[in-house]
Amino acid sequence: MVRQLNSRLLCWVLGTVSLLFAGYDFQAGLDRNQITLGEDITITVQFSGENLKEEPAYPEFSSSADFTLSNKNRQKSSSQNVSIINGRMTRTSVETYTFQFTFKPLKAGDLKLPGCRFGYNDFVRQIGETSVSVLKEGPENHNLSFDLSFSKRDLYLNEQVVLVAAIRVKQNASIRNIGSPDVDKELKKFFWIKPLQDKFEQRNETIGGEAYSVYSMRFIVFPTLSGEVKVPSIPLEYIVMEQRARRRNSPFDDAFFGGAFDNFFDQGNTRKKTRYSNPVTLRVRDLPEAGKPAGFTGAVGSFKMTASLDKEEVKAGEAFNLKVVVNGSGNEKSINSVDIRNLHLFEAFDPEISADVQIKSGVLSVTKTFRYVLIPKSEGKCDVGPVTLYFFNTAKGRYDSLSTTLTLNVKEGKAVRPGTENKVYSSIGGEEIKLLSSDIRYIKTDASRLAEGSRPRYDSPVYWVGVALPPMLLLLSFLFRRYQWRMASDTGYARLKRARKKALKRLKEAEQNLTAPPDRFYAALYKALIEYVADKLNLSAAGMTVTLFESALRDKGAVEETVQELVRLLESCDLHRFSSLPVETSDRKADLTRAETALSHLEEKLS
Amino acid sequence: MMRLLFLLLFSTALLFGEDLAADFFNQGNRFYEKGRYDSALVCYDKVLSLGRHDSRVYYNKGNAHFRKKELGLAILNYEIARKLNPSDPDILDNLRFSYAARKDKIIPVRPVFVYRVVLFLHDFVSLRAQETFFLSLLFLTCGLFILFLFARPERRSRSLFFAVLFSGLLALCAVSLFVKIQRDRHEKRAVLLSPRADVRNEPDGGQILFSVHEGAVFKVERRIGTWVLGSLENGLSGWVPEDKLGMIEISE
Repeated sequence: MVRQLNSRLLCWVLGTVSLLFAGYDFQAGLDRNQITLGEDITITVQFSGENLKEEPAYPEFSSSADFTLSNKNRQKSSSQNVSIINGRMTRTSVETYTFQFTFKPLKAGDLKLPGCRFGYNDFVRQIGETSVSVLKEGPENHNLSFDLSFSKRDLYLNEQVVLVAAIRVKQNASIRNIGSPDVDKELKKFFWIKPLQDKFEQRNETIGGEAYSVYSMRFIVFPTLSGEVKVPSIPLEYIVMEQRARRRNSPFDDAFFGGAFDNFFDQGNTRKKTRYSNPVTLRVRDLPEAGKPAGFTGAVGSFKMTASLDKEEVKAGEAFNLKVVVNGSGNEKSINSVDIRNLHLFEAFDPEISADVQIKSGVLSVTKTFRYVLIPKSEGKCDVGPVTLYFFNTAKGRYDSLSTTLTLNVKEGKAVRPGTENKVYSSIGGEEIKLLSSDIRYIKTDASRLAEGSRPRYDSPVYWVGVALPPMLLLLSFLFRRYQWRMASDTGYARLKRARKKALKRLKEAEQNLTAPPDRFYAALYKALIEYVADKLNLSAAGMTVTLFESALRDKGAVEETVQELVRLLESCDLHRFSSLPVETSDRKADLTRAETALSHLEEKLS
Repeated sequence: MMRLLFLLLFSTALLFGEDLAADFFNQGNRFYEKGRYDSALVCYDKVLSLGRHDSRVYYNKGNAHFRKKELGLAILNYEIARKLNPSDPDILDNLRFSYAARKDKIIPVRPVFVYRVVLFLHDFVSLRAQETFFLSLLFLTCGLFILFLFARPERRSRSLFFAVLFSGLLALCAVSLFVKIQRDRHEKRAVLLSPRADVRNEPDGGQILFSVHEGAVFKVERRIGTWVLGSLENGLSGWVPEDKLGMIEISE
């Protein structure tokens, strides 16, 4: 390991210190003594010793105005050494600490790399400053050039110029992977830039008998700063293939193997390089104050202008559109506005501005459109404008203007503030109300009739009684109505239902005739009995004989005793109706009672 | 004479109770206006203790809690107020506002349009109001049928038409009422009152399923001991300690 390091340090060593002191070995070296700006330089410090008990601290570097420390690291390795002398084995352990410090140069020139101090217990070593040559560009940069060229070096602010960025590479140079310079990023502080191509164009050129590949790209640029503008150098990164150093003491390092193996297997090292573009100074003049129009707002270039109205006739208070289109060559960002006179006759809103930049056949064409919404405040014929664009014509080197006037016929409209004179017209005014915040709604303040009880009623039996009541009423109504309908339509049913009532009425009649002549009493009694049975059995009372009466009752399953009793009563009625035999009142009452009892018995059977 | 005296005493007591409740309510409002929300809440609770469970009292209580930044209690009171008066725009608006103020964004499972309309109609009136409405509708419908039974033949068809029409309405109202009664009996909801709660996989379980913040509304599915199985509107469910919840119910 130490040997390898030694051999490597020997290649580039500038100041190598190797000391053996009290069993310690100390070495320090540089990887090279010449670098280009942007490259790193590495100092390696190695310290080794037997059975080191403590880790050594980093060497301390003094401060430097030429270099800045960009990285540092520490590595440790150890090796065992076993020796047997006269049968006695001795084992030693050697620890090696390697410190690497990477420095970046801050400028080009012959610079001083800072010195350092290393200490371990009583062992102290000091290394002084070392000279390093820092080149701005490496010698291989002669194979590549990067140039910026402007079509004009003396120009006005915002004047259009063409910038060509060209990279020339010697065709047999070992240069690979040329990066794309970010022209826009590097120059945007000084110019408004618009590329005319999407990518670099390639062509071949022969300069001084050498073949070069040329990569170029064109930009339209507008200077945005006046004075002496020093265009900064733009970095261009590329990769250089470097031949690797030949191996020393190698078995293949002879005339036979030499170049053949190296060329075939060894592709060499790659190194990233940076080339800066040539510095360019431009003289950018401010626009002259002499002859500057009052309405000039910064437009520079060569333009044309058209203006149009969407309506020729409107009502006062109604909106119409004015469209102004400016096109030509120049920086569209410099065309800020157009000047419109008589604008006080209208209610005007901020214009809607749109821009279109097109590149056709390498020429930049700009179209900027201003759309105004205007509302006439008064009636009558009025001029919109003159609409004027003031601009600085770089071709003529003086201020120029384009102007046009449009005429509008304004009819009577709906006035906001009507009157015979000075009618006021306006669009629907006022701003839309914006909600600034939201909150909960306010408390209830009405304390009247605060509800008593909150539980639902379904737990209460009273509620369900209330629910049951209407259907019950409906059912009863239905039954009653059905009864009514049957009574009206079914005679037999009606006679059956009315028989008892009718019989009782007849018996009442008979009772009233208890003291009257017997024929009247018995006629009423007879009628009550016969009609009752006739009604109950839906038979004709007129044709009812005792025999028919008897058989009908028996058919209906009446009790024989009752039937016999009724037959006897009927026969008794017949006897007394048609004879003039005297009958005692008590006998009549007894007959009446018998009749009532018999009818009661019959009622049970004939219902 | 005795009966008259009793009626007089009863009506005076009622009137006195009404006045007292209204006085407490107004006093609570005055405290609220002065920003003394604790005192306002005491007054509103007095109104409730007098048995006046009016939606306005719960609504005002909700407002006082909201001002005190007690979002859970505010939502609880607004929910009770909504139960008593589901169509009050103030209650619905404040409830929406409070839900929006919650830390958790709980997006409910949105039913289809038709179901939403049905739900809107179903929830438009409170259970108590619907009970009254149903009873009135029942009387009216039965009355119309009775009218039909006894109407003259030339008027019978018209009364039958109205009777059938109201029967349909009655049937819908009855179904809605039945669902409401079932929900009132069996479906309990609760609001998370503590600032944050871990919802676990089982009662006192070791696994935390998710965490929710104050104001989250749970549908109570089960109770075991002091734990409640609740499900959120977005379908997530788990066990929450009961002491962290406030039940959306009227405690008389």
